[in-house]
Amino acid sequence: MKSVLGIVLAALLALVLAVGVGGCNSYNGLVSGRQGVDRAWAQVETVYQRRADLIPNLVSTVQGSANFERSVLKEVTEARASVGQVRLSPGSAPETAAQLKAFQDAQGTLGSALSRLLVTAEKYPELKSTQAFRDLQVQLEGTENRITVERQRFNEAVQGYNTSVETFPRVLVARMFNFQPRPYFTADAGAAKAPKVDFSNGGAR
Amino acid sequence: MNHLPRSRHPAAGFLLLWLAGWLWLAQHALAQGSKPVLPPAPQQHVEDTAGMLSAAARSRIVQKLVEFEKSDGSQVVLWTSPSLPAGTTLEEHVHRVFQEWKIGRKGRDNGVLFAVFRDDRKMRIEVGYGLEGPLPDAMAGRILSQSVTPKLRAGDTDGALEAGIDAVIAATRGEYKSPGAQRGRDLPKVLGWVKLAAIAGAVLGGLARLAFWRPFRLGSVLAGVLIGAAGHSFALLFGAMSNPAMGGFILLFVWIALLIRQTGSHFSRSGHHSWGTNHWGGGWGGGGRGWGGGSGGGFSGGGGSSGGGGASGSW
Repeated sequence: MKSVLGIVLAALLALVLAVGVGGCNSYNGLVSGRQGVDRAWAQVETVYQRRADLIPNLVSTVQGSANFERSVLKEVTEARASVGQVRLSPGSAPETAAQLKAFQDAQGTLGSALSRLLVTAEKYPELKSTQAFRDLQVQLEGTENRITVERQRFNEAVQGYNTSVETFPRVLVARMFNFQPRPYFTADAGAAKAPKVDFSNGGAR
Repeated sequence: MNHLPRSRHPAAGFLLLWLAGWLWLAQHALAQGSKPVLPPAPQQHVEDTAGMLSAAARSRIVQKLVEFEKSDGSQVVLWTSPSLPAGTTLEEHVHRVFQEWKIGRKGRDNGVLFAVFRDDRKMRIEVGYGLEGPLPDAMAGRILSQSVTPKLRAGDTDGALEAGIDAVIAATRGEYKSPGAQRGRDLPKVLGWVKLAAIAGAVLGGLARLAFWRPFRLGSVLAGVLIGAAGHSFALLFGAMSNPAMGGFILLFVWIALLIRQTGSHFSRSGHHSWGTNHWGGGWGGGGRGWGGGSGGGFSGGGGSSGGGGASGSW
């Protein structure tokens, strides 16, 4: 009799311990998942910042070229300024879809202004032939590529985290400690379209 | 003293359960590892799939890259391919292959992949995170446009690719010196093994005691469970194994142990005690290195990663 009681007690104890260990485990998993998302976001911000940092150099290089379209340059500098106005909580990934959308829209405007600038530069052969401009062009391509990579990694991190927040058994712990799913990057509007080259006022120089 | 025919039985049960646990873990790892079809990681630093190089140039470049990895620790891989797969871009495909081959050491990310697509007449130098300083995009772009493209246009493929590799080596050399250039097992992997060993050792050790102590004592059960849980917590300290199923796993072990206790097997304590902790070493093998490295000078990815840095070109 006594040993039966002992076994029941031991089993209960084991159960409690297992649930406790499992719970802590889930909690730790959620925390590290959220940190992973924030880390991936920091990388995203870094690569976007890298692009923004190239702009002063690009503008001054292009300005040296005679009668380069002022409107295109102005568009780029304005877009860059508006990117700086998007305020996000530092050190953490956006928590709402609206925050992420504001960030993405501002960066998208800058991206299309930049690609317009590069398209316009096609009309200036002597600008294109300078080593400084070619280096800048490669650097811009490089940052765009990095942006793609880091956005994709961010989305993967968010996907993993969101899955654990929303599936059993972690959903129980997530509810208890208020872990919310995070928003994803969505494909940019018109990202699939190649930039249009307009030759209507061809031979502008 | 030892009633072996009877006492074998629970031991076999443990072993089976334990193996089932490892199988489950292995399956889990495999499920995570499956990815879309990419070329398998090469055995050497030069993977001339498109057959663009002469044998002499190929072995010269291989030798250079092997020596470079030995002296500086950075991994540079030259890969030629007939054409890009449909539906991918140059940048996307090269990046995915870089990640798949894990070029560069883990944590240092000191790898470079020079990829050439023969029929598309396109190429790319993809640079790992750790080499973005000494080999920035603009420099990679210059290497392609100034050292490689003119020779490719002139039809000197050997010279072009060798010049590209020489330039990549020259760019990364000097500025980047790896303190531990020799090939070693990655630290995180070792930690993973320590972690698994801790779990297996603690749980099995606890259970062995529990099962082999003749008089039933709550204390021994407690000890087993606590040792198991402590082992697991210890494992958690080392990170990644964040799986709630592990808790259930421990519970299952304890439960089975209790059942075995209950059916009353006649174990003697001596001689068996070390069984649980000694045996775990043989349970798994192989490790994570899919392509098993070549002997002396072959290429074996070290777990490096790239953030999409580098430059593309065409000729």
